[in-house]
Amino acid sequence: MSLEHQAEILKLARVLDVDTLALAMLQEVDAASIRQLRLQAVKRIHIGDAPIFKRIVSASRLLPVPVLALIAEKVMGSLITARIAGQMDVERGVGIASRLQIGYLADVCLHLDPAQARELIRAIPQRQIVAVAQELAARDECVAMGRFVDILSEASIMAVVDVLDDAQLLRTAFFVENKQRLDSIIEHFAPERLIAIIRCAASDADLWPEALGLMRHLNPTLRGRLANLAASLDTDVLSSMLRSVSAHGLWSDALPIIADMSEESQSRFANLPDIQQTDVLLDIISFACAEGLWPDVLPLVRLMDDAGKTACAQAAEYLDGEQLLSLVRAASDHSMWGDVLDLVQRMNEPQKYEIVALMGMAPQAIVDTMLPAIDVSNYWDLLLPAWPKMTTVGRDRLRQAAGKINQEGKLPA
Amino acid sequence: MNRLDWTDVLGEEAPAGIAVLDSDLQIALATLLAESQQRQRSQLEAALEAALGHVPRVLRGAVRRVLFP
Repeated sequence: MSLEHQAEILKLARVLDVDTLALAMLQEVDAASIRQLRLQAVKRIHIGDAPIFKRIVSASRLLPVPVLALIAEKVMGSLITARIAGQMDVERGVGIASRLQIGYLADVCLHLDPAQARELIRAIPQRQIVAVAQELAARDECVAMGRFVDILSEASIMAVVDVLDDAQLLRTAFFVENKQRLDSIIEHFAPERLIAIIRCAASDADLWPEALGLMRHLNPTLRGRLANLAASLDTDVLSSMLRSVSAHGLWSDALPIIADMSEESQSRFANLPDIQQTDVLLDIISFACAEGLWPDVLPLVRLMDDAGKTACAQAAEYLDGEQLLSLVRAASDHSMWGDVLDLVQRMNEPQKYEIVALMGMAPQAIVDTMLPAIDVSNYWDLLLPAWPKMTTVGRDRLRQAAGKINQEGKLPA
Repeated sequence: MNRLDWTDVLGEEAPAGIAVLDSDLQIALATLLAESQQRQRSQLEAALEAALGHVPRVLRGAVRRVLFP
């Protein structure tokens, strides 16, 4: 179960006031559907109880704020207080909150729907917000804190950022609901803090899943800046990222982030000894095929040293027909035939020619882009040994493509 | 419960990932949602009764009339 999925289960459990185990039926449901269900459930509860809450708000206007604070803490309990909070007059709500214990306010935050209580939350003094955030952080309630980032002012968020440690900050940022908000927040972080957070991700706590999970939502420029910062640190940092990505199967998060790095940083990553291990390369190839990530992978292969390129070629020798199609399609769509042909050229025989024979079976439009690349790199000698393994259809496609560049003579008779 | 109609439970169609669950799991989930809403409503009503005990005597009648018209 992904971290995102676990967080959505927890948030729904809080809305329904049940244990997360009661939601076991949602184990296989995607996080987005669980989130949507939670929003629907919140809406349904609010609509259903709206007449009662209207009366509560009217009655509350008859009572002094200290009495309301007493009733909230002694009688109502945090769940009901959270639901009433969203309906209160802002000024009275702030007055009540100022009289409540920080621990109780933290309890209320676990159940509060930030969108319903937007105006009230924004009116709460910053020192109180910081105190509640510290209490939530001490309880490891990063999921709950992440829900408030979309509502709080930038000044309040930065005040909270200052009091959280790097791990708390990283985990909270991962659970932020409106990830678009992260761009403007992280822009304000000092480089030293960013480095500290990256080192925290790379520590024994292994917070790379959180770090990569949130980085993929940042704008490409900021993402590239962070990725370059990580690559500029000692090799251990990149190695720990690689180990974590492999262990957690996070290549679909990591590869687009690595693609936003500078070429120098990519080169450091591509030449880590660990990445050139066969099992890691097979993993990357499998993700590249399944998720269409070849345009991110091939530039990395290009930056590898000779041994790395050969290791990649050997790992790619056993691509099946569908996987190969994803590779040649990427080569065709992204003008990466040079990279693909170099990879094929490095494969062992006879797999190399089996692969070339299969490439000939690609759709005509793809074969049409392959032949000019073969011509430019003068890889015609790849086709001769592969020719007997090809089907008639494959040969016809190659002939047709060669005809378009007037090179029919380079093909076997 | 026979065939589940999510609009009865949520007021709208269920999210795609929920709608494809086995029907017994959907029914269990819908029951959980309905029970939760009912339980929270009961807690709320009980809390309002209890809250009246903390309202100054002089205002209690007025507050009661607003809360329980």
